[in-house]
Amino acid sequence: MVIISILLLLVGLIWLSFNAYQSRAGKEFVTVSLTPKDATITGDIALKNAGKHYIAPGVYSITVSRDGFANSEQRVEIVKGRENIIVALLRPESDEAKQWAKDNQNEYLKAEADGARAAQLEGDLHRERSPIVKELPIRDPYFTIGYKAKDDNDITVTIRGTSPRYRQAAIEHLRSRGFEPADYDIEYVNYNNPLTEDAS
Amino acid sequence: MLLSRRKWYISFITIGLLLIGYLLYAYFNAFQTVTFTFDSSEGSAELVDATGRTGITANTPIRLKKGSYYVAKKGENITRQAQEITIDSSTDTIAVTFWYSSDYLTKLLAQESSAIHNTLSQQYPKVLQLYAIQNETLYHRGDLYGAILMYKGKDRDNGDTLRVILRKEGDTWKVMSLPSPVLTTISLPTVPRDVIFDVNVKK
Repeated sequence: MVIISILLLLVGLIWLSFNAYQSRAGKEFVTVSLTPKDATITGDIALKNAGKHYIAPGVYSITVSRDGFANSEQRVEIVKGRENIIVALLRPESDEAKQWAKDNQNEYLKAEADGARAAQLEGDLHRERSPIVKELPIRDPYFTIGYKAKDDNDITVTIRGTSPRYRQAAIEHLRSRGFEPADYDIEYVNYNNPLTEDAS
Repeated sequence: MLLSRRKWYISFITIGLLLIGYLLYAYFNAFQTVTFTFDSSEGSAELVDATGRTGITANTPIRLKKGSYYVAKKGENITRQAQEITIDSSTDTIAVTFWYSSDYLTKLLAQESSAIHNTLSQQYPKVLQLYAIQNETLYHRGDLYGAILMYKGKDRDNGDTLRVILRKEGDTWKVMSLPSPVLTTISLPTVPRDVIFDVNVKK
C-alpha cells in the first residue's frame, strides 16, 4: 500500500508539473516591483499584485493604485525571450502616505534600483529593435539621415536633402543598407508638402 | 520488506492504467476542432501539410492535429497565394481570405478609377493641378488602392513624388493619409505592410 501511495504521489507530482508547464507555455517570466508592495494593478493584463508572474508577450495598459498615492498609468510590453520587469513607484499624496514613504525609504531605494534595471533593459531593447540607430547619422554630400527619439521609446528618422532627387537618394540609401523605410517613422526636414495646406 | 506478488501486480496495473490514461489524454489533446470560413461561391480551399492535401468545406467543423498548415486557394478570380495558419488549443475559427488575381484587379480598377480620382481631388483640390496620378494598382480584394503622384508644378524644391493609399469602405473610397514621399507602417497602421511596401517602390 505504501508503494502504491508513493507511486500515486509521484504521478500526481508529474501531473502537477505538466499542468504548470502547460499553464506557463507561451508566457514569459515577469518580475513586478510595486512600491508600496500592496498596491494593486488593474488593466488588460492578467496580474494584480507585485511578485513573480508568467504573462503572455504583448503590450498592455495598466494602472497601479493604492489609497493615498497617485495612480501610475503605464504602457508595458512583455517581450518574448527577455528579462521583463514592471516597476511602479507611487508618489505619496495623503499625509498618511507621505509618512509611510518617510518610514520606508529602503523600499523606495530598492524600487529605484529596479527602475534602473528596467530602464537598462528598455534601452537594450530599443537598440536591438532599431539597429538603424547604430548606423546614424549618415552624412552624404547631398543628404543627411539622422534620428530623434520619441516619447514611446521609438525613433523618428530624419532626412535632410536640398532637392527631391537627393531626398529620394537618401531613401534608396537606407534600402541599400538593409533598412526598409516603410518600417520607420520618417520626417523630411525642410520639405513642405504642397498638399498639406490643400487638404479640405 | 518484500512485497507479495499480488501487490506487485496491483502496482504495475495502477501504473499501466495511469500511463494509458495519460497517453489517451495526450492523444486527444493533440487535436483541435476548427471551422474554416470563406465564401465558397468565390473559390475553394485545401489544407496542405507534410502529409498531403485535404479539401476544406466552408463553415463545417473539422478535427485537425495541432500544428502549422498552408491553405491553398483556387478560384476563377482568386490569386493562388497560400495562407499560412497555425492551429493550437485556442483556435476555433479560421477565416480564409480570398484575394483577387491581378487580372481581375485590373478590371476592377478600370471601374473604380474615376471614383478614386474624385475622392482624391475632393480631399485635395489642387492634386490634379499639381500632380499626375500614375502607376495605379488595386490590392487584395480590390478594397485598397495605391498610386504615385508625379509633381508637375513649379515649386521644384518641394516637388517630391508622393505616394498615396486609399481604402474602400462600403461604397466609399477614403484617403488613408496625406500623400507623402514615403508611406510607413507607423502612419498607416491599418494598411497591410505589403501594400505600403509596394506603393513605396513604385516609380
